[in-house]
Parts: sequence; C-alpha cells; structure tokens
Amino acid sequence: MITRAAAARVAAAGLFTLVSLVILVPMLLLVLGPFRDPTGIVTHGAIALPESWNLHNFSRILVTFHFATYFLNSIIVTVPVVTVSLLLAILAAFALAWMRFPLRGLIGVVVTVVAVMVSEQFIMIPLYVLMKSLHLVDTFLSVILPQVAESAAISTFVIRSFFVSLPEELIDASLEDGCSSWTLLWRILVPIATPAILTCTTLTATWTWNDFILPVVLLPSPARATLPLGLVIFQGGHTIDIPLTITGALVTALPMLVVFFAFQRHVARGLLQGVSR
Amino acid sequence: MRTGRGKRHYPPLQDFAGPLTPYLYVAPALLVILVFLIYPLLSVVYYGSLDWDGLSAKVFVGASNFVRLGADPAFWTSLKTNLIYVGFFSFVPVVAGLVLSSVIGRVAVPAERAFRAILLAPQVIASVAMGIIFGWIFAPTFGVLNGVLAALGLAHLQEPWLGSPVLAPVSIGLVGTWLWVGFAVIVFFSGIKKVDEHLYDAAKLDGAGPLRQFLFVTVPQVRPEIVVVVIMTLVWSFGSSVFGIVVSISGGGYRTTPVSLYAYQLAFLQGRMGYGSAVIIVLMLVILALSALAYRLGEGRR
Repeated sequence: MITRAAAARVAAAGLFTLVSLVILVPMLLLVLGPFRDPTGIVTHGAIALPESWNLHNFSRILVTFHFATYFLNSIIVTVPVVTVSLLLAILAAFALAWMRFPLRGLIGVVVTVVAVMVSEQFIMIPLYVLMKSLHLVDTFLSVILPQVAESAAISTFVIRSFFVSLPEELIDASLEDGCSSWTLLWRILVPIATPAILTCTTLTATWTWNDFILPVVLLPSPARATLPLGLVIFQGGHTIDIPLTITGALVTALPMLVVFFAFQRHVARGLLQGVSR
Repeated sequence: MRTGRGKRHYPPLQDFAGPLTPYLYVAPALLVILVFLIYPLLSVVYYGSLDWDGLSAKVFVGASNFVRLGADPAFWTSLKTNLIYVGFFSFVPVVAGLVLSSVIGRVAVPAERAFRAILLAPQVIASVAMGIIFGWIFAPTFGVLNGVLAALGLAHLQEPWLGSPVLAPVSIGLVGTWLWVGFAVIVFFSGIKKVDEHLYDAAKLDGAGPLRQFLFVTVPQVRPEIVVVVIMTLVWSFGSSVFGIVVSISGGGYRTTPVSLYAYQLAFLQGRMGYGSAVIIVLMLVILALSALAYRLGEGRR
C-alpha cells in the first residue's frame, strides 16, 4: 500500500513537472533570448545555446532605445497608484466593515463589485474624452487617476473581507481603552492587516505596471510611454533584431516576475481571490 | 453582496464628525471611482448613440450605430475571432485543467509550492511581453516552433503560424491556453482536495471507473470553482490581456483583431467615437450574456 501511495505521488509530481515545463519554455526563451546573437539565430537557428554572455543588449535597449526612460515612467506611474489606492482602500474598507450608515449597502456594491467589473476597454473612449476636457491627455496623471480608482476598488474588496473576518472582541477592547476611530484603524487594524495589504500591494503593482490600454490611449508622446507601450513602440521599428526585442520584453516583465517570486504567497492569494476584472 | 453580516454596529466609531464620519472615510475612494470608472461607464452608453469624431459637435443618431453594426463585416469578423479566443483562453484551459488535476488526484505533491509558483507565473507577465515571446515562437523563419519541427525531422509540418487567417487566431489562442492552464490546474487541484473521500468510495462501490468518477463526482463537486474560473477567463478573453497580446504579436492582421481592438481602431485611428462606443456596448452585452450562461449552466448541474 505504501508503495502504491508513493507511486501516486511520483506520478502526480511527474504530471506537475510536465505542465511546468510547458509553462517554463517560453519563460526560458525570455530569459536566454537577450544573450543570443542575431547572426547566431540565422546560422544556428532558434534552438541553440546563447552565443554572447554579456549585457550588451541591455545597455543598448536601455540607453539607445530609451527603455531607461520607459522604466522610469513606469515607476512614476506605479508608485503613486499603489500607495494612494491603498490609502483610499484602507479608509473605505474600515467604514464599510465596521460602521452602519444610510446607503452603506449601495456604496459598498458600487465601490467593490461594480468598480471591479469595469474593464479598461469598456471605458477607454469616455476616459479619453474626460481627460481631454481636463487637459490631462499626455500627462502621467491621466493614467494614474483611473488606475488609482481601479486599484482602490479591488483593494477595498480584499481589505474589507479581511477586516470583517476579525473578531469583534478586538474592536470592543480597543474602544474600551478609549481609542478613537483613527487610532484604532492605524495603530491596531492596519498592522494586523499586513498580509491583506501585501496582497493588494503586489497585485495592484503588477496590474498597473503591466497595463497597456490606458497608456496607449492616453499617453501619445513616446517620451511619456510606460514599459509595455515603449515595448510596442520599439517593436514597430526594429522587428528584425530578435535578441534585442526579447531584451526589451525581459526588461518589461522582469520587475514583476521578481516581485512575484519574492512575495509568491501574497500574489498567489490575490490572484486566487476569485475576483474577476 | 453585503458583508459585515452579524457584526455589531459601533456608534463610538463615529467620532470626529458624528454621523458623517463613515462618509468621510469612504468619500476619497468613492469619489475617484465615481469620476474615473462609473461616469465613463455610463457615458459610453450615451456615446453609443452619437455620430461623433470627438472634436466637432455631437450628432444624436439614436440606434442607427447598432443597425450599421449589424451589417459591418469587420465587426462580425472581430466577434468571431474573439469567440475563438474564448475557446482557447477559457474552454481549453478549464477542460485541460480539470482533466490534469483529476489525474493528479488527491495526493500531497512534493515541492507543491514551487509548482504552484511556476504555474501561476504567466499571470504576472505583461501581455505585450507575452506577445513578443510567442511572436518569436511562431515566427516563420528563425521561429522556435518551426525550428523544433525541423530538428525533429518534421519540416513538412512547418507553417507560417501567424501568417494565415486560419492559423493566426489559433496560434494566438494557444498563448491564452499557456496563460491560463496553470491557473486552472492550481484552482481545481485545491478544489478536488476538498472533495469528501467517501463520495469516491461510494462511486467505486457502485462500480464506477475513473471516467465516471470524474464525471459524476469530481465535476459536480468542484462546480463552484469551475464557474469562477470559467467566468474569470471569459471576461479576460475579451479584455486587456488579449488586446496587448494581439497588438504585439500580429498587430491585428490575418483576422486576429478582437472586438476591443476593433473598437480602439474605430475610435482612435478613424475618429469614430460614437460607433466605437456602440461596439463596446455590444461587447459588454456579449460578455454579460456569456457570463450569465456560464453561471446558469453551473447552477443547473447540481
């Protein structure tokens, strides 16, 4: 019986390995592609070991092809989106979880359920018109503001569910100690909510960093492109140099892959929260 | 969707502004969401009834955009293409994920965390970067897939994977399968682990083989997970990931344009804001209808 159970485990691991390999092959190409040589791809074909183990393609893509600027732009957009949306979500989730007030049900549904279901392609046309009337087209603010709204919605959803799961005694005890709502939230609830907050941080950072629709609609100047948009702009002019194009893709994807593997548990929880967007 | 059920009300929390306190806490988030998500969502419905280039005066044309849409072959092509994507982004990963996770079965897998990480990793890669990698995989000359085929002595199977209206949508669909199959396996694997062992024992006593156990125990028992994954992947297969993948892999040629990209081209390349909005409205209705259908089918199974 023991051997049968062991055999089942080995078979299961084997199947997992097989699926993992299928998923890993494109990622391997992404990681090794930058070290291939354009002439090497012509002579050795696509399946060959890297010919040039150096960072030449990285310096070329970052400096000559402006990916350093795109990288900086992505940071300029992502950092405020994550921090501001988190702040708004913590405040809103607190009231929605622990206070009763007229219209609470409606506000809760609008802020979490409805807002989470709004995909960017649904609103891209009116959003462009709105940003144009606010004279914000081609400014970072034009992508930051809608991203703050999207991220605040998903984070309110996640943090509120966390708050609601906390024991009532915690609030009772704090109130007896004479805590104000403000100190209760920031001194007691937020530190406890660190796992939920990390989930929101990693998830909203990933979505904001990877977003393509808002930048392509709202940031017409290449000087203000974020990495995904910059990658497409670059691709438009240089499709022939495969290793250099792959380098651009790696520079775009690597930061969030690093975040993912560093905070794997938190990102996985966020992805599996069962929230459709 | 009401949460906070059974939780007590805490009047002392309404301190610094009395009964207005909760509104002050909610106001910042509510404001940005109303202005930058809900207002645009409502506007698109209004824009759909306009003949408008975004610059000159708006002309109200009622439902005529939708009438024109019905006779627009480019729209129907994009919808058909998008339904192919639904098949590969949603249906295939769900079925493959169900089959794989039931074959894996209810065992503790060694290095489960590492497998979990690898299977979920595609979720964090930017869609345009995916498009670039798979663009290389499917490239006609010096492409990875054709290279593998040649190395295996199967050169006669080489194809211009992104260069024909039949193959290109399928090739792009496979990117979606790659993106979602790991996710589906992870969700269903943990769902199957929660199924009561006795149900399988009872099925075995009734003489049910692996296939019948799968159909009559596993599938009904993980129904909630199936519905969630179907609806999620369904929404995404019309959404921004498809948009980014297509733009960076084919630019939309060879019948690969999904509905969202068609609406983008109408609004921002041809300046037809009203007509583009009408396309978006139909897109929303299609997503709503398909999600409702998936939900109903899932309910009915019980």
